[in-house]
Amino acid sequence: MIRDITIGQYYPQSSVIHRLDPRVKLLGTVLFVLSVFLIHSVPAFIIVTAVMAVMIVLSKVPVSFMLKGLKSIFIIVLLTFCFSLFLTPGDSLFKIGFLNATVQGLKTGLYMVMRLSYLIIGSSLMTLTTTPNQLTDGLEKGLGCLNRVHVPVHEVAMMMSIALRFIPILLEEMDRIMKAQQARGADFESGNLIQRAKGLVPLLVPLFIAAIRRANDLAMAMEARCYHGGQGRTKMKPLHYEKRDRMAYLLMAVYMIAICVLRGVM
Amino acid sequence: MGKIIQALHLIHDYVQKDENGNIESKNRVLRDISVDIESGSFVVLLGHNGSGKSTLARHLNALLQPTEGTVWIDGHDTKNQQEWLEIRKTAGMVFQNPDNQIIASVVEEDVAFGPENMGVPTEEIWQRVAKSLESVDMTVYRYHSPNKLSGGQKQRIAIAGIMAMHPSCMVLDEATAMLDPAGRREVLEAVHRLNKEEKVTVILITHHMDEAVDADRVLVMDKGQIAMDGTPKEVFSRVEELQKLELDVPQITELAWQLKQQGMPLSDGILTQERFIQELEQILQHRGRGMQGVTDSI
Repeated sequence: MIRDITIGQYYPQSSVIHRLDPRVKLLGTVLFVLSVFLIHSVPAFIIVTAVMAVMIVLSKVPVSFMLKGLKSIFIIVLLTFCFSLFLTPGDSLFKIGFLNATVQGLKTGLYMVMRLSYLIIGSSLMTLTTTPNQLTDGLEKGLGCLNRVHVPVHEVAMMMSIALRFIPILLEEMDRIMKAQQARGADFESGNLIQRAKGLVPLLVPLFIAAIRRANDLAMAMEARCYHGGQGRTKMKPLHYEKRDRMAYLLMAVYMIAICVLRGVM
Repeated sequence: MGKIIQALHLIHDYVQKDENGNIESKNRVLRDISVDIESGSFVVLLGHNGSGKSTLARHLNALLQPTEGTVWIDGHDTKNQQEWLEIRKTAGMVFQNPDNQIIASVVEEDVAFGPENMGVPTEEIWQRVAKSLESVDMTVYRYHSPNKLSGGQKQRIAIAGIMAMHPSCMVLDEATAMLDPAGRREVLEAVHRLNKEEKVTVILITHHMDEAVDADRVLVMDKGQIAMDGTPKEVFSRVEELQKLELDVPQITELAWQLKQQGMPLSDGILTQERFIQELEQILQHRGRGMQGVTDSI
């Protein structure tokens, strides 16, 4: 059961969005999130919604998958809405006790709800259509310029991809240690919060030791296979911009200009 | 044939230091090892735990440097840091735990890791990956995640990862120790095939005696020294010496030896069942027609 957890929740499909260069998708997501917070008029919202709908259709990922991500932030969205509704000064709409709901508050609240859900949908659209490997590759290449200011981009990307590879192995290991401790009478399920937290100590210590041992072995294995940092390294699957990626950049530019114009005019 | 590996008076100490850098204890693991290994041969290195065989293996890949003495890998001195990359290209190494040596989360990308580090051009990486996956019979799994493979399959992926670097020598450091019998057989078959078809020198470190039977040469290590050196037949004829070193001999060899102790005129160092039966038949025929029934029942 514990092994079924998938990180990033990639949804395998062959669509235009899946085939896009990860760098395009990364920049696109950032711009989309930015645009969602830039707009404050109904026509702009319609444009953003339409763009998002087209993206979802193009990605061929079922809408239910997208909405799953919204469940986890439902409480936050609800709280934000209530705060905006009752705490924005303006014309009174209705009153509950000392709380005064305002028309302006309703408007801001609705915008906030839309913004937060679009934010989640937009970013899950990226993780659903990009494998973790592509994502780290994209980050490495896209942020390569930071190398010049001595940010170890290659090393960080390598660490990320190794971490992703070892998550299932460590989960399995934790399962095994848990069973071994339970066989000797450890109790992880009962007691109050503090007792349960204490119960985790005999789990975490062996897990950490095992992880450090693994890291040691892995480092040796990498060295034995000629690993010596990012210098002089070639790639089996290098990232190349295709025609569709250039098109995507162009569309993104058009979209951003439209959003800026709308913000300036209205 | 040239010598791919040469070690001369190799000594290795594991040194433990306290916080101030003072030497706390010294543990001599390798004591004066001198050995040459012919290129293209299949060498099995035997020894019980703590005999220093894994330490010796790490010297062959420049993962450790000699305390005293010298190791040359295809003419490159392992003490010379500039040569390390060249040495690691020449002598690939497969480790014991299959999980801890697979780096990528897709099989083909893991096989490509070595060539990527060496700076091989992209098109050639694709060719090498395809070829090495085929040589260990794992092409079907190239798009799979290594997490879902069996131990033997993971170890074959690790071997493919080394093969993609086109080494002339491969060191397997107890690579079969964590595998079940089926997995061991898979890995051994793959290694033997590479030795025969690709002429890769193989140094197989193990404590399974039966893996040594098909080797060209067997080295037995004890207390940091090479205690025995010879063909499997020569080494396994010295049953009593091996037992003193806390090592077993293959079952069939032991049986033949026991029978010989009881007075059967068998030859020394019988390694295979076929050979054993053949000799037994000869003896029985010698003893007369009356024994014919006994041979048939064998």
